[in-house]
Amino acid sequence: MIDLCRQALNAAQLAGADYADARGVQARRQGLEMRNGALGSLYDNEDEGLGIRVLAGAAWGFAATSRLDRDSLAACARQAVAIARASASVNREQVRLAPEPGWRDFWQTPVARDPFSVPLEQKLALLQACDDELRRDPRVKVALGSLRCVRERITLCSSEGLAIEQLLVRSGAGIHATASDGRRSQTRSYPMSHGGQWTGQGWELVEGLRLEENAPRVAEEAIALLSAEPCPKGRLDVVLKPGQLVLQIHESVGHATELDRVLGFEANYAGTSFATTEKLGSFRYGSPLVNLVADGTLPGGLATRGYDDDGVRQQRWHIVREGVLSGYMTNRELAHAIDEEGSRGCNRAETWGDIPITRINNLSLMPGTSSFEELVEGIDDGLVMDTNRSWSIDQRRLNFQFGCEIGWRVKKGKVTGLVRDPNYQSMTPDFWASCDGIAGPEEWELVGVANCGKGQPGQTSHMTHGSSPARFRNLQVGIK
Amino acid sequence: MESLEPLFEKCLSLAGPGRHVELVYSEAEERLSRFANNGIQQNLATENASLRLLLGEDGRLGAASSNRLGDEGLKHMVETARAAARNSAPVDMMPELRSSCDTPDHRNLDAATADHSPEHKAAALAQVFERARGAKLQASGILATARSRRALANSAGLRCQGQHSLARFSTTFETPRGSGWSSATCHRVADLDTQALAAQAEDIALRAQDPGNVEAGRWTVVLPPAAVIDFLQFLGWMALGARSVLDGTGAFSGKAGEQVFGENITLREDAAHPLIAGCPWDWEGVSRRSLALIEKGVFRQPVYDLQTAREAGAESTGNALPRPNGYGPMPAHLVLEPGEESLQELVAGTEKGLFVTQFHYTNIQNARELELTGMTRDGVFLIENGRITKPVRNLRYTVSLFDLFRKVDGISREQKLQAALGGGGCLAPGLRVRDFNFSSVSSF
Repeated sequence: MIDLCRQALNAAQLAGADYADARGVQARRQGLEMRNGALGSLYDNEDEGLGIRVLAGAAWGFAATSRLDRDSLAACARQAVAIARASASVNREQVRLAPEPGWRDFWQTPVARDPFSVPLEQKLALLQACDDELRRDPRVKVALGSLRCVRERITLCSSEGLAIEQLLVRSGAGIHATASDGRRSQTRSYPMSHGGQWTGQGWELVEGLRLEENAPRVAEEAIALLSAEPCPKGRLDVVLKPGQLVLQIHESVGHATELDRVLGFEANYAGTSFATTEKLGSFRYGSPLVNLVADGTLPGGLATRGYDDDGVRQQRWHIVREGVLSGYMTNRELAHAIDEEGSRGCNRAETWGDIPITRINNLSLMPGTSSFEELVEGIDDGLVMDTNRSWSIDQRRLNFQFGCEIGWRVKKGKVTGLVRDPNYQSMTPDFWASCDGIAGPEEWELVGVANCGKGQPGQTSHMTHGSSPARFRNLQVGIK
Repeated sequence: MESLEPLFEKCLSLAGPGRHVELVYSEAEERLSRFANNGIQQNLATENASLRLLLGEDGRLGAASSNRLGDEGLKHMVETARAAARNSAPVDMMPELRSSCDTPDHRNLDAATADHSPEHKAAALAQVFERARGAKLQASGILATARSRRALANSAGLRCQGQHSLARFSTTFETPRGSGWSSATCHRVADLDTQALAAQAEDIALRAQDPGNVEAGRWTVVLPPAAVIDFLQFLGWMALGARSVLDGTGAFSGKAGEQVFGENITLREDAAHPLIAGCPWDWEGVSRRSLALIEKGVFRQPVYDLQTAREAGAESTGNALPRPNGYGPMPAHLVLEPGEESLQELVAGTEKGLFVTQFHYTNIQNARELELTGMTRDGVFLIENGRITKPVRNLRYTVSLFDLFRKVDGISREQKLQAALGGGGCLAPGLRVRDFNFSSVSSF
């Protein structure tokens, strides 16, 4: 693929590109899903192609093709330059890229066992065993289990001398049960909702999850939720467990600090952000306990890699330090907008056919010094919530409302019973300001988000968020 | 246009005689100019073609897909599917195969749309940027054109293909103090009036500056078609496919024949509607039927594919997704019956209420209850004594569609199409709804 990339670069430069990069991707994606004992979904997809991104007249052009012969690549490169010239014909602003060394490197996800090497028969047997456990009680109407894996070989070359190859592997697995009594339906998932847990690992992820062992509990909780008390309405203190808190981090901090959003690039689609650049270094995002760190080197992280699709080496930096806005997700094009000399390496594309755009990197709430038990003991009247079920936030990332699969009522520091359909609503700075306790590193968990949508045409990206349980005071709950 | 028959024949031959083979071919070219801050920020052209194979062998199924369509790639794809089949558990019965379809060659492809160049787009956008600068606003959005080709083939002899084009324009005009928006999708780029749409976004943006306070609570709302489409699409995904109805977990499980919405609500699945002109067959090659899903508020039936139809003792409605899949059938051409009033008349008939330009980040809070939450966006206006008077801040709604569609007291004759590449679409009128629940307010 590196020769093909170089051919494309050469053609782009001959056509007049001032800067060019060529990104070839060979991907394999495999997934299977068992639904009520039958094969719900099965795919094993091979996909390859090459995208050429150029600057001509200080404006961008991008063209991509799955035809990897010399003539098609040359035509694709010429098309990218023509598109850039069309952009330049109407643009007043000029694109300038932050400097980055022309790295020459190979990087790969550390994998203990290649997930593609595990026989399909073994994968189906695991899902069948989970299905058997999930459907022991007839009140469980839908049992679902899924196993997925992705391998991408990405080759990136640029006219600045960049030549990088990366072999990225991701795995995902999960189960869920939906119980119904004819009046209500309730779902429980393990280890996460929305298709389960995803990490930058191999089959060792699946082995560590113990899906079959957890299946009976998942089914029992779905059934128990049918007769649980409804979520109370009003203002209560809430402990959020990582299965919910990670999506809170994602939506109200991750997206809010993508610099392209902040600068208006997503204004027509995903929206903008309240966390505008003049607030950098001074805006109180949350209580002093709140430290949020972006980390493209996080072991097992879904966004973890050697380099982003700008060819920028991965880094670790604070987005919120002791409650104060301290950084953004940036790329080479936008770093200058906050007077940073280099990019933070957040430019990623979903496939070879997509333009790299600014993406949330792995982003985590740093652990505190409390424990889940202590957080609960500090609540007189409140709730614990876990496992995200629904999410919604306004286009400046302020007003949000989240729903969870499961809740527990807390009275005088003790958990007293299950609560169904728990949800809460707040404004982003108010919410993080109300954080008065975070559990310690021994309760810190990583959760992968594999369905993050952004951009036009739409692209799905993936990243990991870490957190321990944390407590938030006086939240509006039980919104109907 | 290159014939696909050699490709299909090669795959059938590689799979071997007597095998159960289903092939889905997808090809697309897209050209999209994305803009923000009155300039083009991303500008692209992309093309891809891929093939998906479902192979049945010895009572077992395997699947594979690839965009490597040369000899080596195809051979590998067939081997992958065969290996998957060998390792799979036996299925109760092989999926049903259709041997023909009523409209084997469907075309809704406009050459001018397929050929619309980056230069054409830049010229149109230059005028949009000029308008925005003149009004001291920032314009963002997309201008996109695409063509697609989809074809089915199987070992029972089915061959059909559909070709479509799509043009899309969406724009937001804004300052930090307020924004306006407009958008359109259609099959021919010539029907896309980018300058009129930009003028509409500008007008809304200028009227939406410096929104005032507003209280959450129950309001009468006037929703233009774009806002209604959001609800219809979620209704379709959540509740109108047969899978959740048959499972007993869906909002309409056990409710066939029941009055679920107001008598003024009729919702059809209708690929043949002249404004949608969708692909006349589904991913199983079954002809799409035009049928009422909700008729005068009564739930009549969900949509079916071959598998769910067999389970229910019904006929497929032509709403299959590519198989195997865990979702079951889905509606893809929803049409809400229009009314006789104009949107303006719906506003004029409102003593006190809110006019919402569009919704943002709608999501399911409780699928069984058809409960959604989301935000308003790009212009919310107070209606007083039949007139739009002033902008107000954005609000969050939390509503059940059971509640909403029982409280519709006005339906517009204006309709809007939201089309999808490949022939899908949703067609909706505007609505006036009583007691619409806004559960909180944002700060802008």
